[in-house]
Amino acid sequence: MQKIPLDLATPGMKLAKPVTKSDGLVLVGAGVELTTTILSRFRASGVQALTVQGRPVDLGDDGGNDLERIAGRLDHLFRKHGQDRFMVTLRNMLRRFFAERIAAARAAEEAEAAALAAAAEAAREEAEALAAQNRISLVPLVDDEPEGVPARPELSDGNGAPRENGR
Amino acid sequence: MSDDLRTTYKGRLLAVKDLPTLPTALQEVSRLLELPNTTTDQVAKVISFDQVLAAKVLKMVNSPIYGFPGRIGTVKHALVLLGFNVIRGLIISTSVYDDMNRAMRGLWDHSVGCSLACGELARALGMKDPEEYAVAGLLHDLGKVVSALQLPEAKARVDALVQEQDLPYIDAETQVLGFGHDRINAWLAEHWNLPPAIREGMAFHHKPMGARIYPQMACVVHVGNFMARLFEYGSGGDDNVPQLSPHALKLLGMNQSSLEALLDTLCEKFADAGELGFA
Repeated sequence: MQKIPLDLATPGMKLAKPVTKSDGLVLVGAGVELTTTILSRFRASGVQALTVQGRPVDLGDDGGNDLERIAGRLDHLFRKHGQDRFMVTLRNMLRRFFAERIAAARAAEEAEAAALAAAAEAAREEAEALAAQNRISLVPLVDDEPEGVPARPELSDGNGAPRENGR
Repeated sequence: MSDDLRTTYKGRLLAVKDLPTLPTALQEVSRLLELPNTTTDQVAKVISFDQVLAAKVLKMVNSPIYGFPGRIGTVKHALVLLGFNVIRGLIISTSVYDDMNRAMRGLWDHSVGCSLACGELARALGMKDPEEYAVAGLLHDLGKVVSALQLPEAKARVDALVQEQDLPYIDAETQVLGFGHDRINAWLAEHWNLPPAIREGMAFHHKPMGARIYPQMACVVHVGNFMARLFEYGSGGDDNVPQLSPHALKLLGMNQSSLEALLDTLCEKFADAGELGFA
């Protein structure tokens, strides 16, 4: 999840949080994939920032919640409290806490990537299956054509006649 | 540090009422609040009269700190939802910080971060009126701003000490002035007639067990300040975490799991609070 300015948003990104106007009205819900149309609507509505899934943009500064940055700074921040038993315990607790959260975030990221890959794979398979089905349905149609010709007009006549009556 | 010098410093600090930034609206609001039959309408009218101030107040009350982002459209609505004390704190903080817009941007961010942490903590602990805790957090380093405004030469020496000797800001203040910003906070709170709970939160955020009347408020601001420093949201003047008092955690009934829950909430909230400049 990453909060980015509207200018850096590109079509294809997915919203992690709903986008709201300044009066609280929800414009687009979470989970929606951005398109050029949606982005231009956002621009027209005065939206300045939005939260998207994953970390698509490298912003350099991460606004204070970058777990790895905080974990790396712990020793420096606690440098004055080396003699204080409570503060040392606290630092160790925080170190463990951030290590756990970083691991969890990595696992979630991998799971998300795996889910995306699986979804792409499923979509591809579905498309293939559909194409195969089309091929199968096309084949008998082509084969049947010489004999099937008389049958088809009958069918359309049968359908067409009652409709005209109905009007 | 001689008493004379200390009195001089105190006098110069308290001359803040001459600051161009403190709006006349604040005096008017304070006067109205002392009258027993003041209505919300009257106060809202006074604040709305100053358009810049009204805009700042609305921007702050609609920030994620107070939990109803983007839904408060009028000053009157804000007053009804958040109460007079909170709005008065907002007027003071936005006005005082305004003058330091460029120079002390980091301190404003730090105060916003602390405010956010205090509000979240008070909410998690089920305190009454979490907004008041958030305002106390917003005001907790006001003494630093006012001392920088009124005693710029002292501020330069404090900054130099922090740089050269790697001292925490408050220790450097004590060396240069003879007292820290917590003491200045106490004077300011008294001077502006802030409610006692907010006064204790401001004055005792470094020594929470010294608070007599509202130790819970002081402890919440103490923990909130620690959190803002830990996440390095903004800058409080030096890069250290302050000593966290185990007694304060005990008084608030916090243990490791509630501390972790707070950290989890703050990870998310700090990402959201992105841009809360004054503008």
